[in-house]
Amino acid sequence: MGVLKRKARLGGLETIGLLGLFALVIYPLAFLVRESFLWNGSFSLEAYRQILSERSNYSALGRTLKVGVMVTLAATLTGTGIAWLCSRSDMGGRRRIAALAVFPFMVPPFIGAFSWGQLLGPVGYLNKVFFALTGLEKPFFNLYSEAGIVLVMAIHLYPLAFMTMTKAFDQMDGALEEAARVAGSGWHRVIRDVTLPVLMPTIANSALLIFVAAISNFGVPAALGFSNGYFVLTTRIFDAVMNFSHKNHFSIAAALSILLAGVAGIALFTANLALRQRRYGIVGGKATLPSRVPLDKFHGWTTALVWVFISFIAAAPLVAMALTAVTNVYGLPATPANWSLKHFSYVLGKMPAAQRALKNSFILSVSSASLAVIFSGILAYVAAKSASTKRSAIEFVATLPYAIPGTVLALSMILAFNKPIFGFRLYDTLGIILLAYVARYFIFPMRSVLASLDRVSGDLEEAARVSGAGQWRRFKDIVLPVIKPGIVLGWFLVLIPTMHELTVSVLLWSVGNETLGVAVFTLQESGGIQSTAALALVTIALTSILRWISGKIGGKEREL
Amino acid sequence: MLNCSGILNRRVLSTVLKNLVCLILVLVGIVSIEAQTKTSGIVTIYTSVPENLMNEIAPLFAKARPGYSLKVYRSGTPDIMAKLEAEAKSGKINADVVWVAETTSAEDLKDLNLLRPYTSSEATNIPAQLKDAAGYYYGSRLINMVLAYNTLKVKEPKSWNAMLDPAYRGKVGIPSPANSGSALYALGSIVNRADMGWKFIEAVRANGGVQLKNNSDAVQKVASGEIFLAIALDYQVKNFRDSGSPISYAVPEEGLVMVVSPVALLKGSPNPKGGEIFLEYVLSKDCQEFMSASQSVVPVRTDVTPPRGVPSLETLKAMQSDAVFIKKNKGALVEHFVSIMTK
Amino acid sequence: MANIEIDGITKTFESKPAVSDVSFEIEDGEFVSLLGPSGCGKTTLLRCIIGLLRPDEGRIAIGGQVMFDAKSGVDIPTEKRGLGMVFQSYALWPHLRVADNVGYPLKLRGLPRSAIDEKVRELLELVDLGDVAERFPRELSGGQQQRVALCRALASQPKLLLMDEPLSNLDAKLRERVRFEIKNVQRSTGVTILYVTHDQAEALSMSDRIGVMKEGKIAQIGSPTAVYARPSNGFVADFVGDGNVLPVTVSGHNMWLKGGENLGSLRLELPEGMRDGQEAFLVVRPEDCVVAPAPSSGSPASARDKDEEGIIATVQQLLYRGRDKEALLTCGARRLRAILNPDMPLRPDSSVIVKFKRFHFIGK
Repeated sequence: MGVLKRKARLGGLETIGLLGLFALVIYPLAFLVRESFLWNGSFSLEAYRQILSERSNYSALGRTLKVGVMVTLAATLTGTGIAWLCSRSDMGGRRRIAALAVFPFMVPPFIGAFSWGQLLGPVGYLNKVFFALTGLEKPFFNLYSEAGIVLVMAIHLYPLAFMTMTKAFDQMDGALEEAARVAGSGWHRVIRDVTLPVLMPTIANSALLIFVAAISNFGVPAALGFSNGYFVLTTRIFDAVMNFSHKNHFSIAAALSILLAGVAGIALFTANLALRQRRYGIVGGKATLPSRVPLDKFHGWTTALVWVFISFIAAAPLVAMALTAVTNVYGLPATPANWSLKHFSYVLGKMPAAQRALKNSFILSVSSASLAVIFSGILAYVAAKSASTKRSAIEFVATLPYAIPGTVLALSMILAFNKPIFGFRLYDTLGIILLAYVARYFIFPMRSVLASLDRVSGDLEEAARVSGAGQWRRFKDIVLPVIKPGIVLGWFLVLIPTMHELTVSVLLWSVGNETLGVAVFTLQESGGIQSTAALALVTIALTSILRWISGKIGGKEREL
Repeated sequence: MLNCSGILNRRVLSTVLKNLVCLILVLVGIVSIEAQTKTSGIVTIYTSVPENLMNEIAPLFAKARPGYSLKVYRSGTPDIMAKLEAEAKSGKINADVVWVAETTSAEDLKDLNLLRPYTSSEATNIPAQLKDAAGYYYGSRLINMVLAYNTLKVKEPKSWNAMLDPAYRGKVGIPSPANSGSALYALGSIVNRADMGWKFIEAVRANGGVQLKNNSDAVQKVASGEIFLAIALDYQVKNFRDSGSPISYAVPEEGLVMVVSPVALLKGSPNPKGGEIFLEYVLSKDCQEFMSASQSVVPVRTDVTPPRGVPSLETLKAMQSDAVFIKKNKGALVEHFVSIMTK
Repeated sequence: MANIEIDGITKTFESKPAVSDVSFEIEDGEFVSLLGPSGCGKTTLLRCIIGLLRPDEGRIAIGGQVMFDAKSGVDIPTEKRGLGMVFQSYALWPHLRVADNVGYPLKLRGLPRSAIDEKVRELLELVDLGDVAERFPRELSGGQQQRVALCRALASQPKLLLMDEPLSNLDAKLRERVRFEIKNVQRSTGVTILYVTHDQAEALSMSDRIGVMKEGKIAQIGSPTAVYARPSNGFVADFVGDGNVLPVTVSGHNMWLKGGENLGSLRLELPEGMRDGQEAFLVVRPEDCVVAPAPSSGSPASARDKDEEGIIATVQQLLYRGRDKEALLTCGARRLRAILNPDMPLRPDSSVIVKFKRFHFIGK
């Protein structure tokens, strides 16, 4: 079990955590819940009755679950596998692979869908090569399909599993594995019988995040599922929000969102139930470094295979985007004769909105990541020390803003913060976007910190109590440093998506408060495909720099 | 190696964190205060009008009406509508003017009781069919749904029926009326014609036609050659064509679909006077002349002579569009369309 | 002055009592051990004293200050109790250097940097660890980690130092060394120690007094000699020093093993107050058993000289232990352990006669 077996007096920290949770999540989402129970302005269950009697909602729900499960399986397996190879085997080029493996997460999903479309769409670069090689007219892979949606989402999300698991593998007490080896297990048995079961809570944790991310994703199914009528819950919700001729469309959208949140809630409770008995403190006061597993005769093959795989999925969309960005005239072959850097110079030099957006998104993502980390650090600590029912409740509420579509969260934010609160009006400022970002993404650090806390045994903190440290001091001096890897990871996990966030900011931005996602989207809307790609590349470059910096600050996790 | 890095990291981390928190608070404070101090001469507009047009109109307006300046939130029509509806629900509208692409959205806003009727002095020169009888909104420009084609794959088509040509099987598309009001107009106009009707849509589907996310999706896919023919907005095609992409458009012999882009005042807005001043400016001869000259937009005023290459209201060959029918049957139109296209 | 008063402490986990109505006192500078098998509640009691657990009943006072009182509702939080503790897992903070680990309690008390450094150096030198101050805990051996944990617990000069099975993670050799170390440290610092262990050797060798615990209660508390030589009940006798506890019946000057009257008699000095026919327990330490080979001819029972004293037993197992030999004997249904001279020529299954050098009665 986690930090402390004893239900301790939490006082100040608990107040801060729960107040924050109220302001960020409960207060705005209460408006959403209220909306779902309104019909023609009075209380009614009509919205629920309607969504439950609409057959297409069931197919959308079924597809949501199917896509969610498939993406979760694919992304968790891939991410965990590569994380293990990078942090626990003697595979060649581990550091570089680890750096590359995170890349797909830095590509915004709507841009990812777009750039994979450039590669694998009916006339994508790869399919064109395929046509030229085979003389066939039928693409070898149709991206506009269920498989395409799963592929693009899994590629975007597997880094979540990769990053979480890398930290877990690094932090694990090597003695646990050594004990199994001594007991006569070969390495594959050790992995199967000790490593994976011991890390199961962490694996389940990242699988849960991936599942919630997959079912609440709008950009990918909207881009790839639309033309063939493949609707999932998020696209249905979007349709409902935009169906203005329907008088109660907001109520329908709200009820559908609550259905989606319910799916996420069930997933969360299932995961928690399955793991209730399985939270081990595996970073104790006494630890040995884990040793690396020799790959022996598979060394060369594994190294080569992972390299090809990782560099393909990391680089291919970037190359596609770069090709598009340097294309002078869209629609003509992407040959050097048709290359130009004018789109880069346009977005960087002649588009004031893009420059404002660069500045704003930088401020927003750094500050929302920092605030989210501070807040979720406190809340995770409170949750870890609460009784299991309360802990589950906190986790559930914290998951909500991420489990509903961004559009719906943004609407709730408008409903909640349009009018001044205590004389201070957040609306029309960066403040409301910041608040919405923190609300939407603090679940990432929250879960990574919770995972760290669950891995840290309680006596470390008890020792500090005995030494005379009060609650704040213990939190600051002992808990915080020990869970630092989880915090750094969580910071980064907020930083990346907020850098290119679209669905929330598109409803909340105002002049001067553009975000990069909005700028990219506006460009795409107005048909500037090459400029879109150029700005998206600039965004990714900026994110990479931030990642590099955060790596410098937070590195050396191995110390623990 | 371990000896110094630990302390360094801890100190760096905590310093960085402390500084960050301060930075955030200061920044958010500045931005918030900044946003709250300037108000009086500012006219806030929510619009789906293309960015490049707004970028030109904003400074012109500020120059033409000293003391006033424009604050623009530009996004897709659905985003604007959702934002406005949410603002209304929470009891505070933050924009003075809304300027969207077609009249069904304006009608929706009117139904939601968000618009303020206003009698414009400039509107006398605007034909009655381009404005709301009660003065809730005024047509400000005309945009046209035309047949876009990829010039590398298709010879200039003559008729909408080119979309049924088996030679282009699987390479034709229609932007979804669910996401775009102008696409809805096009659909409503097509199905209302005796010689086309729903049969035409079914035939497009039978020829492998697909629904496209929105108008810009249609133009992008035609430009890239992913599809060859699509119903699209004329000015968007022109943007691509002007940058050299292998795309152009034809005005089919049956006629194009004329879409009226309405501008309206919002009820309970922060700067009602400013809103009126902007509305009058958009409808003014100056602005109409500028738009038709700079953006090839068909002017709505009968007293504005369009420049060369821009058709006038009289010369425009348009299909009949029944705004009332389209507005009334929006839900059914979208639903039927989706059911055909996803069959 | 009674330094630490533990009065009527009761702690129940989900209606299962872990500690019930435990009371005892610890004098200033005393080394008291809580000894007992796992699950006897000794760690629970320890955690109640330090404040990591909240007792249901009772009162705890340290140095005259009430730390906990169920009646008046006083419950000083752990961090304000001013105690020190060495955890079984040591609980060294992995992100802090040895010196920072040890100095942490001092830092919390707001000592200036130089004073902390000075004190930390002093403490580390006390346990011979002056040269590892700048290392991280994971770079130390188990024994070194243990001593660092000890230093940390001592740093704030606690009114009471609690140690929870601190040696259980060490190997036998090291355990013995650290035992001396702890004693040394106690002598030089004069700290009061409450020490929890299940290892009787640890308790016997280090403590001034030992409280033997059974099922949440203190079965006996007293000096090592008292607990060892004069256990007040069968449990203590059995748990401490593996004493032989034999049910006997007194008859005249003879004492009969219950259920084995014909196994022989012992003429023993009966303590005062023991009446004829009374049933009692006889406690004999293995090292107090005098074992001699039985006369070799005939059946042991019938060939006995009536006047000869001793119990007839059979050797079941012999364990050679270097400086002596341990024999496991059976006599009737009873088992008896005895320490023999390693040179004694005995083999399994041989018959022996056992006499007792020293013994002790426990009333029934």
